[in-house]
This record gives sequence, C-alpha cells and structure tokens, in this order.
Amino acid sequence: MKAGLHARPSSMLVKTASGFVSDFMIELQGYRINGKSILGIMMLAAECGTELQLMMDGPDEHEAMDAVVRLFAANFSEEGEAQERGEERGDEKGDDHGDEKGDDHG
Amino acid sequence: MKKGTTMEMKKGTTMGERLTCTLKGVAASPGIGVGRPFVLKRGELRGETWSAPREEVDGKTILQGDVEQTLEHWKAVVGALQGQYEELIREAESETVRRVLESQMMILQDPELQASIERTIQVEFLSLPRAICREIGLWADRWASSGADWVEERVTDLLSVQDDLILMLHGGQREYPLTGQTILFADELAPVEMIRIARTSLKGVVLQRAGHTSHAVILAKSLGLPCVVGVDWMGAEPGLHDVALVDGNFGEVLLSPSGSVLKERREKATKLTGWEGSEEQSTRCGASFVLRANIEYLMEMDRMQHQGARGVGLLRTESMLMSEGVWSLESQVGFYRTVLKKAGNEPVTIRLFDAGGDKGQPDEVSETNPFLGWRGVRMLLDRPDLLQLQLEAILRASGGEPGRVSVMIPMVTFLEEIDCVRSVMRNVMDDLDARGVMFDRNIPFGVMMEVPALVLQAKAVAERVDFMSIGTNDLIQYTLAADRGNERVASHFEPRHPAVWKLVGLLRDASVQRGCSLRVCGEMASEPVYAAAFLGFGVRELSMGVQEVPAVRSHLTEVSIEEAELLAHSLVAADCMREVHATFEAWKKNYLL
Repeated sequence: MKAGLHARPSSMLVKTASGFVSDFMIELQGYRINGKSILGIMMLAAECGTELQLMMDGPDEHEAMDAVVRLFAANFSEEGEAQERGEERGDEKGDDHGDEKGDDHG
Repeated sequence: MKKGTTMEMKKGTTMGERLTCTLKGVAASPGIGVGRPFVLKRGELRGETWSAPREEVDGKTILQGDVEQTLEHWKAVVGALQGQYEELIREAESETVRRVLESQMMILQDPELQASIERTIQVEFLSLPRAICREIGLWADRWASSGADWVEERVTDLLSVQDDLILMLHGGQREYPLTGQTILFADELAPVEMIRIARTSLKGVVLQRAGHTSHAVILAKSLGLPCVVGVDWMGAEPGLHDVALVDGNFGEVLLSPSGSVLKERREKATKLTGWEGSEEQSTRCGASFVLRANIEYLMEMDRMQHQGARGVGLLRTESMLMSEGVWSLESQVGFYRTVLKKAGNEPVTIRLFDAGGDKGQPDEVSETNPFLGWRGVRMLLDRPDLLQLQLEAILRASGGEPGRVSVMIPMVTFLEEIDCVRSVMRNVMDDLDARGVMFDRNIPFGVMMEVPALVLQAKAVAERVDFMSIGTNDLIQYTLAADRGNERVASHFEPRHPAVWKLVGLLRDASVQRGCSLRVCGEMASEPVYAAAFLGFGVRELSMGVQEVPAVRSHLTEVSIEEAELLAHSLVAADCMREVHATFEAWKKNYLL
C-alpha cells in the first residue's frame, strides 16, 4: 500500500464499499475487520507500506472488488474518487476540493 | 502537540483594571479575534441538559420483555440524530465543513457500532444509555491505544457522537448560552460542537489540547476563525475576565489586554485585512466604484461587511451539482434567498452552473482537453432540465426583491447561445406567469466574457445583454493558449500580455458605444494595479475574493480616473512585454507600491 490508510482514504474506502451489497473484510496480520466500518478501519491505523488482505463476499463481489482496488491503485486521489462516483451513479459531479485546502478559488 | 505553555503576568495600565495575562500556545488558524471569554467544559456542558450521567449509566439493565421496545427506541434516536446531522450538512459553509460533518455521520451509521449496541441490548439487557456509552467507550479505548496520532485525535469525534446520542435520548439539542462576540475556551472541541457554536457569534477559539490535524483546527481554518491550541488556560480562569484577544498569527492569547494593547493589535489586524468604516468607495477625484464579492459558500458572506464588499458580483453555483444529485428547486430557491438576505440591500449576480474544465462534471465525462470541452453554457444547452430548473429557481428568488438578482451565462462562444438561453428563460417566465408566480420580469441578463471569439464580437454581444463580466483566468488562458494549471507553461500564462489589454480595449469600446455595463469578476480584479487599469477601461464594478477587497479599495481610492485612463491607454498601445512592464513599474513607483 502506497499511502497510509489515514482518515480521508478510510472514509473513501467505507463510502465505496458501502455502495455494494457484498460483505467486505480487511485482514491485517491475522486481524480481521469489517471494511464497511469506519471504526474498524481507523483502528487498524494502517501506515504506508502495510500489507492488507481484502476480501469480498456476495452477489456483486467482482464489481465491489474492482471499485476498491481502483481506489488503492489511484492512491485515494480525488480523481480516483470522482471517477469512482461517476461510474457508480450517472449524475454526479467530480469534486475539485482538497480536504484542507481553502475553499476560495478565483 | 507542543506543550510547555508559559504564562506571564503584567500589571494593567489603568488603575482598577484586572491584571493582563498573556498565555502562549501554538498558532493553529490565523487572524485576530476579540470578544468575551466563554469557558466550555465537557462536564458542565453535559450537566446543562443531562445531570449526573455516570450514575444513570452505571448499573442499569432492562427487563427481557423490554428488549424490542428498547431496540425501537435506539433506531428512533439514531434516526433523529441523523436528521440533525443532515440539517447541519445542508447548511455547510464550505466543502471542508461538509466533509467533517459527513465523517461524523459515518460514525453514527457505522454497521459494527450499530450491531454491537443492538447485541448488548439483546444479550446483556443493558439499558440504552448504558449500551451506547459502553460500546462507544470500547471503540474510543481501541482508537486511543492505536499508537497513531491521527487516530487518537479522532477520539474526540467518536465521543461527541456519544454525547449527541445521549442528549438526543433526553430529547434535545444543545443550547449554547453565548451572547455577543465570544472567544471560546475549551479543553478540546468536537466538530459538531464547533460548527454549532461557530454559527453564533464566535470570534476566536482557544484549545488546551487538539493537534494541527484535529477537526476543530481544520474547521477553524475553513471558517476563518482565529485559533490557538496547546494553551494551558485553566489556571488563568478566563471566565473572570471581560475581554480576551486571540492572536492566531503568533499563537498568543491575551486576557484583559489594556486599552492601548487592544487598540494596537486591532489596528494591526485592520491594516492586515479589516474594514471598519462605511465610507463611500470613490477614487481620489470622486468617481465612485463598487467592489463586490465572489462567493461560493454562505460562510464567506459573513466577512463581506467587515471587509467592505458590497453585494455579490459572482455567485458560483456548481456546488449544487452535488454527489448526491442536483439540488431540488426548493433547496436552490432557499439558497438564493439566503444569499440575498445576507447581502443586505445589495445586488447579487448568479452565474449559471459552470461545470466542466477543472470544476468537475455532472455526468461522468472524460475529455482529453476539458477546458476546450463540454463546459458552461455548452453543457447547459445539452441539459435543458438543469438549465430550466436553475432559471426557475433564480426567477422565483428574484420575485420578492426585483432589481437585486442578475443572471450571468458562463463560457459563451456563439451569439446564438445567448439567444438560446434567453429563449429558455422566456419559456420559464411564461410558465411561471401561467401559474401566477411572482418574479422579476426585467431581471438583468449578462454574459461572462472569457472566450476571445466572443470578445471580438463585443459590440453584437453588448446589444443583446445588460452587462458583460470579464472572467480573466479563462480569457487569458484561451487567448494565450496556455493552460493555467500546467506549471511548465506557467510563464506563458501572463495576465499582462499586450493582447489581453487589447481585448479589454475592445470591450471598453463596445461597452461605451452600446451603453452596456462592463465588469470584472476574475482574479485580475484582485490585484490592485490591474484593478486601477480596469478603472481606466471604464469598469466601475469589480468582484473578487472577500479577503482581497481591502487592498484593492485602498489603492483605488488614491488614484484618479484621468491617471487610470492614461494607464489604460498605454497598455492598449503597448506591443511587447517590455513596454507593459515599464508602464506598470512607473505606475507602482508613482504610488509607492
């Protein structure tokens, strides 16, 4: 894993996984948590370079896994998220704001 | 977070004044705030509406027969709190505020948390408050011992959801007894608390704990609230003082500062950003001009009066194309009405959805060159549903106060696009007429001048619209064929390029000949020297970020129209960068800039 699974990526992961019916589990050093639970993911406090095992189980497991893997591949960048959401739902707008950036852009 | 706070006591300057006390901490959000100290203690806060929480929580179980009822109660409480959070999110002042609130919502809706609380009720027969506190407490302990700072800092967020749930059980929202300008002193501050308090009359925040990445600090920055953290303030008893000053630039908190210190710091702050007067905005020679604000979020409007911005020259509306879908008619009308209310009696220019380019798309659209792609009016004319919805909302909002709302079309290239939008607007008007809805029949109608092709047809444009507003960033990048986001060609994105001024010259001519108002709402307006040049081109209305207004006003009040016209004349006459450069240098020298 390139980026650490910090607060913003964690919530992006939960948001994405929650869009699917399949169960989503994350395993870290034998410790397994619910990937749709922000409480669980934050507890892993996964830092940069940590190896995580992702498991999907359910009717839409392939699509769900694709979506989650894309998030990791895009390093949880905003573009990754915009694409993600665009693909999930037809009428969404990409997001051009950074988390802690100012909100004013001329 | 850095600790090791020092405290020094100085004698006040006037007899009978309380001792001045300076507390040192770490600057977390810039600016200076002055107000009456208000001390917020977690325990006390709970005490206001929830007495003796621990006694109630400890040792309470329910009967097996009450399990169903308790589970229902739990669902109802979660639902109600969810509603409260949703309301806070709807009124979010900025993208950051929205995200922070959404993360609170995510905790509330967490499937593991929900399951564990339900299990505790079903299996261990714990009462609802006890189940909530124990389960959230367990998670808080796990987070606190995760060994990562960024996780430990979020424990506050977790506990605040617990507090909100318990409060909800007791049927209430928290009331904050704040009156007048307030400086808040707290140990730590939960994000929801922060936002609720910020919506009163908060002027600054002092925290004992909280790191630079805590939500409280992120929110303070986003809301423009001065904030100092890592301050050991309890011993100083701020509640006993009448006045506190938070200096978020230097990480200092002054309790009962002497009159002269207060004056000095205030002057310094005013010089940096502020505007205390209500003087006319006019040049040295007495010609009046108007500086308005570019606004996207409501919270930005709170600083308008203080900074001396009059009305909104550019209201961005793209944030209504939200991830959850486009805002409903009612939400759009509500938003515009709130903006109008906050703008006092001043006008508000609403730019139609300008999605595209760097600003995201309502649909999933992948373009190799989005800035030359499907954006602004191009997208709107392909999506008549969006256009009609927005025009109806704008017209409805204009009904109460005719003359205050204007419509502005972004990214126009063909004259026909103006005609098309106008005809859609006429249809919407007919429809509103048929339904007996009030609206401003003569609503001013204008265009953004950002595509060179349109500028070259300025006279024909000026005949069709009530005003033309220059969007400088796009006009520059389209004229100079330089992507403003591409660092490699950053030096090619040159606002002072002679061609840019020649285009502005064309706009001036068209504006004068056809009697059509010429305005600027782009970034160049916020640079005092360029703003002076625009005055010379006949522009009397400039719109910019709220924070830029004082510096621009300060320069424009010292110039005369005659000088500005000479400046404009030299700029249009210039052929190479060297000449433009020399012209501006001479101007700056003359005004000691």
